[in-house]
Amino acid sequence: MLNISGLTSGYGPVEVLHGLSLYINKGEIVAVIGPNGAGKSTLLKTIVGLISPQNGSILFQDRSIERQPPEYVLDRGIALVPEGRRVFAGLTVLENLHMGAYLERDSSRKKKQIDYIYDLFPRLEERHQQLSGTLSGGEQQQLAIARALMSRPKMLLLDEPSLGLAPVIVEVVIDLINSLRKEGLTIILVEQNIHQALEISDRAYVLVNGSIRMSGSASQLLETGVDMEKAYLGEKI
Amino acid sequence: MLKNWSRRRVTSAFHTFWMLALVLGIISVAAAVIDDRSITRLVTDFMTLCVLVIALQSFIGNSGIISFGHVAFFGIGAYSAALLTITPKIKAIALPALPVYIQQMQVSFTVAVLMGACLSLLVAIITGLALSRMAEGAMAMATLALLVMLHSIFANWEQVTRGTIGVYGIPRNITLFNTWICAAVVGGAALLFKASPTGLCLQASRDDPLATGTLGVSVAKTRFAGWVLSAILMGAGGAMWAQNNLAFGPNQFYYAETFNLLSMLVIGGICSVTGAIAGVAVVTLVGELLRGLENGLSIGTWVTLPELPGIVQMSIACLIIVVLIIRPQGMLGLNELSDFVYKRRMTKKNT
Amino acid sequence: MTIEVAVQQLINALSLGSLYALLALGLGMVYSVLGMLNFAYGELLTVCGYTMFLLILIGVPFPVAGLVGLGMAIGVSLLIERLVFRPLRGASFISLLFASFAASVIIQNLIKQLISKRPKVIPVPEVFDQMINIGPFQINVLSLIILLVGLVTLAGLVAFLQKTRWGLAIRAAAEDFEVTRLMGAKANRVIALSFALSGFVAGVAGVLWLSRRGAVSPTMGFIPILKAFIAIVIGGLGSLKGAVMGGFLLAFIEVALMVMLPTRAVPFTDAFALMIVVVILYMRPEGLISIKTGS
Repeated sequence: MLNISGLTSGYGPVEVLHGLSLYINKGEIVAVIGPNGAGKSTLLKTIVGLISPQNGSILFQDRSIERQPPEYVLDRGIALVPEGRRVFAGLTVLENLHMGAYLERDSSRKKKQIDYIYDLFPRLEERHQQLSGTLSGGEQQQLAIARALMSRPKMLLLDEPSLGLAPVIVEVVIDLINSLRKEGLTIILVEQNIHQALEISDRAYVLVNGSIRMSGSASQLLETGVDMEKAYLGEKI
Repeated sequence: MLKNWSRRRVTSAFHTFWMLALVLGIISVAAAVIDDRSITRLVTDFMTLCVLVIALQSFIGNSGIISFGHVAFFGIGAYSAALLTITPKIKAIALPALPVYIQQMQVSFTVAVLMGACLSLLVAIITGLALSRMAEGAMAMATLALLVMLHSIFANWEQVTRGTIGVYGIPRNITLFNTWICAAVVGGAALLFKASPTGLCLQASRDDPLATGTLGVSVAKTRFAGWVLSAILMGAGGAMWAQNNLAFGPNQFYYAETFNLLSMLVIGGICSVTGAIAGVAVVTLVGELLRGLENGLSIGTWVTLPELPGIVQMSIACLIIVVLIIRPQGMLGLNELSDFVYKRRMTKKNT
Repeated sequence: MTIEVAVQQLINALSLGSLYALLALGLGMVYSVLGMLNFAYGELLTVCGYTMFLLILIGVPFPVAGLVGLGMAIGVSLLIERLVFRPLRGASFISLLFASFAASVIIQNLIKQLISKRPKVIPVPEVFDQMINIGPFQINVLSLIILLVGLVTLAGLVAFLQKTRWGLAIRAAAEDFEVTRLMGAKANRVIALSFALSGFVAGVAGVLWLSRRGAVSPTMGFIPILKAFIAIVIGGLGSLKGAVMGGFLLAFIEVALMVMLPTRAVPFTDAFALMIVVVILYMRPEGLISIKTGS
């Protein structure tokens, strides 16, 4: 579904990703794990078009999407839930959801999608008039995911969804990701929290210093846990 | 927290200092040799502007906070120099409401410059105590407020400033020699401040105020120091300027002059003292080249270009935009003069 | 002070306040979306004013001239965005500030060259100077018109920002520009829209400002932008609600000072008003409404 090859990207003259290649099949959950500063967020931002890559290609459903602006990529069906939730704090929950469906002009379809979201997140319906800055961390994470879902994406990119959440809430988020998979959504999950990420994903890539250090099925990688810690510490394997 | 002077920085500041002093000295000597009234005037104007822009640089460049209020200190320096140097005779006619001891006072160039600096210092301390605690945006706005407040004082305190009519009869105490000394001293002070521990803390707060705060540096205190120092220099520059211009009114310390000084600084590079001087030089040159156009120009007997009021200011504004697009840090960027001359040796040492 | 005078001053303050609030909202709109202060904002009023001046000179009626002036303000605002700010996208706060400063100088000088250096009088409809009686109160027609137009424009803008898809995008962009782009809003379009709205507000404020002053001059934009700047800083930079509140507060301070200060101190009204503002900022460095992110 998504095919990245030889991707080089970064901020201005600083190169963060050095010729990275990976692929994701339809219906998969693929985890991208790696230490701080490995380039995980840069990867996601490059996919959705917030950063223009210096080199390499990104194919989504056989169409090239590198160097396209975010609105184009979103319209093709890729939505990103950014790191740190980043809900619009001064807007109400409902307004946040409306922003999520910014490209949807048909108001009845928008209404339907909101109803669907409310089924998925009853909490958000209760609080739909509340300013989203007043929600708890977990609720904000739900809202951030809900907002991304408003555009009916085919593929969802999640950037550290468990960051700063209490363990109980992390469980909720994980359940949510599982149920999204059942609906046929393809998911890229970026995490620092290795074990949780591997438990729910099919395959995983280990990203260190801007290149893929290891890849394989999630169960395989879980077994070689020791080697992975070495990868984190930057030793050659 | 930084407490110690860095030897390397002081040395390179000193190198830049003597080179700048030398360059300015050569300009002064050249003007003295040519001995032409308009050239001498051009050079004293240039030196005075150098003092003012360097003073502005020492705050804006190190703190990264834009100040619209420095022209107010410029005005304070100018008015205090005027009151102290105008002959008692003229004062008796023009400013009869002045206290007697000020009316009868007449001081030399140096004393006037020092007094301008002192008065500026006083106002800077009072305002700085409030300003330095503010957030960056609020502080920029407060400096603008300062400009407007002092302008309304200059324009309305008729007993002392003669209001909008302005003061006149200031003796022309300025010479090529004493402007050169002033420019060199002010340049040296700005370079030394930039290399000092306080100056470095201020630059750190420019790049990241939050992180600087966590290092135990009081951002407010360092900003206060920068504010006061640059006000002193600005007041001195204002006093020089008054003795070069001989007559002036309150509107000379307002929006247009603020733009003028800021544009020189931005074109030259706000982070560099050398840049401040380079900016003055470029803007002065552009001004001189285009001045002819402003009053209408005749080419031969056939072609006469129409008067183009404001063409100088406009070209400078265009220049700013162009510089910001192609060199956002200004012509000199972060470099001082010594960085060019000594670059090779420094990099060798480091590697 | 009699009750009549008090009511009249209250209406004056409200009228001035709605004008300042408009000015502040226009400046604050671009600030909150782009994080930059547009110093050329005052020149939009100047452009509006001179357009009206030229049209009235050739006999166009005042209201029509006002509408065309409004259009010009929007046009010039968009033009500045395209020519000056778009090439500088991503530049630092100070760079953008200087660029807008330069843009404002260019416009001022263009007007000096193309029209005149000296102030010009604009004939304002006579009805503006008249007083009307409402019950026991005598009220200046112009103050009333400014109050009404100001409030209607404010209400219209609020409705636009609250109810429409584009308004929502602007408010979202004011909170987090990058995420707004993630939602599919085109960056350049949102920015251009904020400049257009800013120009619209400047145009309306320009017509009202001219009706008060009855004259145009190349540097007439300085005072309005100063007031707008002060108002948005009092209100808390980046908050649209704060900008409106800051505008009204500033007007109330000014009117109160004008009423209370002895005649001799009247020339210093601005200085006193600014002093009060600086005191407010000293106590609340982030302004009245500080923006707190939810996390």
